Amino acid sequence: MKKRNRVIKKIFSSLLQSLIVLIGITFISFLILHLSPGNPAEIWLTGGDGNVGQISQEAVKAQEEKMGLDKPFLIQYGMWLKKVCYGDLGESFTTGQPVVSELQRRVMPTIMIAFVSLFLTMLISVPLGIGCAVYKDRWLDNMIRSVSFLGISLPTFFTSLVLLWLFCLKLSIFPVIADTDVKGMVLPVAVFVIQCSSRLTRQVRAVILEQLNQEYVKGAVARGVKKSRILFSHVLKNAMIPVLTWVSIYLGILLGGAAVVETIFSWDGLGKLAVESVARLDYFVIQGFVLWVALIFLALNFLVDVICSMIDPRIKQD
Amino acid sequence: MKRKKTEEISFYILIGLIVILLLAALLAPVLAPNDPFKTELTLALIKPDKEFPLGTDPLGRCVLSRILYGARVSIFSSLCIIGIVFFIGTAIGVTAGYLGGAVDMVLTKIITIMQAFPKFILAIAIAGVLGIGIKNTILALCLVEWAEYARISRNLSRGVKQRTYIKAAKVCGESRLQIMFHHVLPNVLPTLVVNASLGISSMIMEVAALSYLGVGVKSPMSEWGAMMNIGKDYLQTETRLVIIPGIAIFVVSVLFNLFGDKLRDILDR
Repeated sequence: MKKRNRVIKKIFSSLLQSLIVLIGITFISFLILHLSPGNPAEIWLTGGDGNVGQISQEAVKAQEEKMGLDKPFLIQYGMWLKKVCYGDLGESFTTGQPVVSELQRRVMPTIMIAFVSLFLTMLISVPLGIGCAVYKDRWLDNMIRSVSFLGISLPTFFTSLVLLWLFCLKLSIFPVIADTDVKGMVLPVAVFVIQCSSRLTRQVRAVILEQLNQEYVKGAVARGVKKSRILFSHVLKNAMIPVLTWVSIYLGILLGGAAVVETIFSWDGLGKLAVESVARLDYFVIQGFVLWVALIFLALNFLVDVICSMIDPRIKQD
Repeated sequence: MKRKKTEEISFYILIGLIVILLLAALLAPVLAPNDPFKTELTLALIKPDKEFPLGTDPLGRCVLSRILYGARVSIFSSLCIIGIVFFIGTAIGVTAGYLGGAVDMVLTKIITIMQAFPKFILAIAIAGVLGIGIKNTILALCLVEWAEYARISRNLSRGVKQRTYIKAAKVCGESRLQIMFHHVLPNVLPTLVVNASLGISSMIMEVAALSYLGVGVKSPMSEWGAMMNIGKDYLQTETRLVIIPGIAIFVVSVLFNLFGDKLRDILDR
C-alpha cells in the first residue's frame, strides 16, 4: 500500500514538473516570436512578398485586431495558454485552418519516417555493435568501426543531396519531387538510417565492451559459464538501459522532423512545416510545433525512466 | 608496448593535420588564388581550369578561394561555440550538481527547458530578431548547446560529491568554492573534454545546416553550408558545387572526430 502511494506521488510530481517545463518553453518561444521584427498582420495582407507600402495603416490595424495582435504581450500569451487548456491551438495565419488539424496532417509523414528509420537502425546497429564488441580489434570490428566513423562525419544535408543527385537525377529511380508515399520515403529513411546507425553501432559496441570488462563477467567465466550464455543473459540485459536511452534520444530528434532533410526531399512532414511557418511568422503553428517537440521530449524521458526502473530495480530508490 | 607507440605517433600526426587545417583557414587571404567575393557574371560556372582550380560558382566567384575563406567561418565559429558552451555549461552544471537543493532544482528545470527546445526554431527566430549573421548564429547555438554540457557535468558532480575525499576536504575546512574548483572540477573535466572535442564536428554541421537553410551567414560571406545552398540549384549540371563543400565538411569532421576518439582512448587509460 505504501509503495503504491509512493509510485502515485512520483508520477504526480513528474507530471507537475513537466507542466512547468512546458509553460517555460512555450513562454520563451512566444516571447522570441513577439520580439521578431516582422508583423504577421502585414505578412498576411501582402501574402509574404513584402509590399508593405501598398497597404493602408488602417487595414493593418484591423487585421492586427482580428488576429489579437493589438493586445499586450502577456495577455496574448495568457489567451493562447487558456485556449491550449481546452485543446485549441489557435488558427494558422496563412491557411486559416486550426493548428491542430495542420499538425495532424503533417505529423503522420514524420512519424512514419521516424519509426521506419529507427526500426531499421536498431536492426542494423544492435547486432553489428555486439559483433564488434565480441570480436574487438579483429577485422570485422575494424571494418565496421571505420565505416561507422565515416557515417558520423557526414552531414545529413550532404548525404541527402548526394542521394538526390544519384537516385533521382542520374539513375532516375525516384522522382525529384516525391509524393508523400512509400516510394518517397525510401531516400529520407536512407539518410536517417546512415546517420543514426553509424552512431548507434558505436554506442552499442562501447556499452557492451564496458559490460564485458566488469567483474561479474570475469566471475562467470571463472565459474565456467558458457560465453554465449554470459553474453545473452547477463551482458545484454545490463547493456539495455544505456542503449534504450540513446534510442529514445534518436526517436525524439526524428519525431521533431528533420527540417533540412524534409525540405530537400519535399517530404510534407513537421520539419518542413516548421521551416515554412517560421518564414511566414505563423505564430500559432510555430507554437504548436514547439509544444509538440517539447511534449515528445518529456514523454520519452518519462517512458525511459519508467522502463529503466522496471529493468533495474536499483534505480527506483533514487 | 609497440602498439602504444604507434598509437601515440598517429595521435601526433592527427594533431599535425589539424594544425595544418587551422593554418590553411587562417592564411586563407594568402593561399586563395582569387578574390572570393568578386562577382563576375561573365565568368559564371566555369569548369575547373588553371586560373580557377575548382571552377567558379553561378556568380563567377572562385570556388577554391571560397572554400578556404569558408574554412575560417566554419571551423572558428564552431570552436568558438564549443569553447563558450563548455565554459558556461560546466560552470552551471558543477554548481547545480555540487550545491544541490533548490539551486539544483531551478537550474535543472532551465536545462530541461533548453534541451526540449527545437534548436533550429530558436536559431531562425534569433536570426529574425537580431538579423542574419554568423555572430547571431553562434549566439543561437550557444543558447541551446550549453544545456548538454551542464547536464553531463551536473550528473557527474553529483556522483563525485558522494566520494570520501570531498568529505575529507569539507572536514579540513575548505570552502564550497574551493572544493568545487579543486576537487569536483578536475574529476568531471576529462569526460567533458572528450565530449567537447567530439562536439566540434557536430557544431560545424549545425552551423552549415543553418547556413544551408539561409539563416546562418549573411551573403556574400563564404560558408560551406551556404555554398551548398547555392550549389543545390545546379545539382544536375554542376554537381561539384555541392560535392566540394560537402567533402570539405566531411574531411574536417573526420579529423576532429578522430581527434576526439583518440583523446578519449588516452584519457581513459
